[in-house]
Amino acid sequence: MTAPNIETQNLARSCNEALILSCLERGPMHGYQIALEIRERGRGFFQFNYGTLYPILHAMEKNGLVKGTWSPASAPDAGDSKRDTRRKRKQYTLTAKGRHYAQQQRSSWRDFFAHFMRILEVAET
Amino acid sequence: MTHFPELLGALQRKLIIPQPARSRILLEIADDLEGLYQHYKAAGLDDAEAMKRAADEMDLTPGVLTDLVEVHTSAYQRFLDNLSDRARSRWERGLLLVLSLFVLFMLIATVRTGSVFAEANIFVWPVLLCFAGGAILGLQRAYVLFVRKVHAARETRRGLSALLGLSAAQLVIGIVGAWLGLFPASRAVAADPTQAGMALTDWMVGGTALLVVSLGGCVMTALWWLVLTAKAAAVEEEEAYALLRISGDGKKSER
Repeated sequence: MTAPNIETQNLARSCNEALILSCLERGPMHGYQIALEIRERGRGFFQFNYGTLYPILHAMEKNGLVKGTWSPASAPDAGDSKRDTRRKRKQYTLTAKGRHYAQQQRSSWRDFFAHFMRILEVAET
Repeated sequence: MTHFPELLGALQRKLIIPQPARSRILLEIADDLEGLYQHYKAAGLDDAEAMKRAADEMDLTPGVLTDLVEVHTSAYQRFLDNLSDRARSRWERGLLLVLSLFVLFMLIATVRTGSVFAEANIFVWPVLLCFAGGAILGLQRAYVLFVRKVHAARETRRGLSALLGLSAAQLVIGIVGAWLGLFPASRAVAADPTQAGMALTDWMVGGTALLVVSLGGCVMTALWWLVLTAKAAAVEEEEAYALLRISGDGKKSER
């Protein structure tokens, strides 16, 4: 039996990290798009505070798991077009290291839940 | 433009992170808030509801802010944070002054000897090439930042890493060049040991002259990089504040 490669001391953060990695495996996304994707794929089960994304994304960027790139934002409406030429949008892409880490995390979470459920089911019986 | 000047203003006050990270985080969150707002408007919510929903969901709790500060604060920054602002700025200015005086002193000393360029070994040419490249790039970036005052995100820091790289290259070439000069000197000594003193003296003169040129070029290029980086950070900060101010004025005029 191997110990899960999950930071169990801070389970909520580890969980959010795994969810973010899973979203980015589908392709590059902006911060808020990741949050919307998690809510959509979780069918509303995860009450995700969007603000919690940033420290996790920035830490992952620092560790080389994701790469953030800035691109000019398009003007959402004609009235704001002049001002919006100044706006930029940050998009995150999974790096090769991040992709490998995401796969490891998926397997670790699978093990974690298998052991966790085993304990709960024993308690139930 | 942002529809969330108050939220971003509060965030800007609470986010105690060195520039340019602070401006970048503000711009990222400002844009994501706009993205969420547009998303809810497209989903059929009216303007006020879409704004409220986006602001509620982007709840930046004290815990989140603490985590953000932790991610963006280096060990060195934490050390500096333990000093008071006044002491820190005095210390930084003092360090910069000492460095500038050192460069000035070295330049004067170099010019007074007159022959330093002639006596340096052949590696002085790539060093001078890097210095010239750095000077051209530095002047071009200075023109963009100080004269044309271009504030586009891609422009502010373009070429700055290359400038720092050219500074480091001068130092590396100088050190490598000085050591490589030892080989022909050693060969000369091996061929004729009676000329050892002359051969080694030639190597030392050529090597140290090269090191004087490369160190001087390295420090001057690095100082120029420091000035341009500080300007780029100031431009980014100004841009983040302008983003908040533009919207604030817009909101006032709507009332």
